[in-house]
Amino acid sequence: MKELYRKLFHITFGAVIATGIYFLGRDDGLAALFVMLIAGLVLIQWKLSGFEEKVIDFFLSKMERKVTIPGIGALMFLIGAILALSFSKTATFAVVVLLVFAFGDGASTLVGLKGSHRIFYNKKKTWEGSIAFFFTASIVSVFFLGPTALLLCFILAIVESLPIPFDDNFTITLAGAALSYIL
Amino acid sequence: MSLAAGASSADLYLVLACLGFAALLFCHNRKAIFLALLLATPTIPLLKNAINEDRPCNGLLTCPDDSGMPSGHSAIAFIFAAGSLGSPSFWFFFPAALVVGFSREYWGAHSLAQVASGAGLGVALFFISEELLIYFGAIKRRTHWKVKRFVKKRILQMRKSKKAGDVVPLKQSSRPPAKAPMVKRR
Repeated sequence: MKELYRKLFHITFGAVIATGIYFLGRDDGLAALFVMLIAGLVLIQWKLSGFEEKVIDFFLSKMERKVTIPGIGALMFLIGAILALSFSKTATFAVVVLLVFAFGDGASTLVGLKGSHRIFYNKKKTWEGSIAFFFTASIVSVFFLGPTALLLCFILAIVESLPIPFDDNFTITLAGAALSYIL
Repeated sequence: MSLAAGASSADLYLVLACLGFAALLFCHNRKAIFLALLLATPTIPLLKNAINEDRPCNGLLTCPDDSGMPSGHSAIAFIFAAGSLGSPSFWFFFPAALVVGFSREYWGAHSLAQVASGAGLGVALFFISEELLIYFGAIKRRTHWKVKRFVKKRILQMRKSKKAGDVVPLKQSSRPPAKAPMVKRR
């Protein structure tokens, strides 16, 4: 249940940020994300120092995985959004990468948890999860990029399934930004 | 003066050396910070050349020649801010990082978007370095924040009771002792 709440929050947060960037544009979008990054770092520091706040504690108890830093998931998403927006060729492509990541990653986790066919190069993930990533992300991104979106989602689904030790907020967004120069 | 305006490599290395020395003294994540700095040294010029975005150059001082995206000074300053997260030195490194970032914008060396990009890159580089060091066994994963807080509370309780002169305050209390939260390793 925690994972369901967590991924619903992940999808909503991603959709809100992508919509904001779509309307604000690249420079104002980056400035807004910078303000959110500053607020996030201060809140995490307060939480680590023993600060208690009912609303934040509620969200952490409902959605946070067993992690060593409170709210690190949301912080990583913000950093991923900054990297995607900074290094993508256009702001529209960054919005697509964020939507692909938000919807694709959410769907892959929710479907993948029920899946039984393990990927041979990464035993932690399932084929069902990767297929869910590809289809969900394709539906969302095809409106912006047309048929190119299918290739983008296919490559990002492979990147998401790789056994890389880094947070997928970095790997997917950076891979998406790099693809903006190729596709 | 030139430190605020300049993006010459000499200035960059001076900032890096000063903050590195401070981190060596104060930060508990020394290894990850130094690896992040090592990673940042080639990454930032590479990204600047690849993106090739002009600087605003509308500030008070002369503008550096190279490209502006992302801001190297902000990236380095935010590596230290992220590295000190969870320790009291955060309240030194974080305002310092903000001052570095906003001064770059004030002097016209970078736009706010370039500063934001540098800050995001710096925090990302720190967490990537930490994960790399954990993966290769050079450092241990941090203690879970709830466990840390629990231990801190118990230590404070014990200190208080010691001051009050109680001999065995926690074991003989009428309340059952609190259990530490169970935490699985990722």
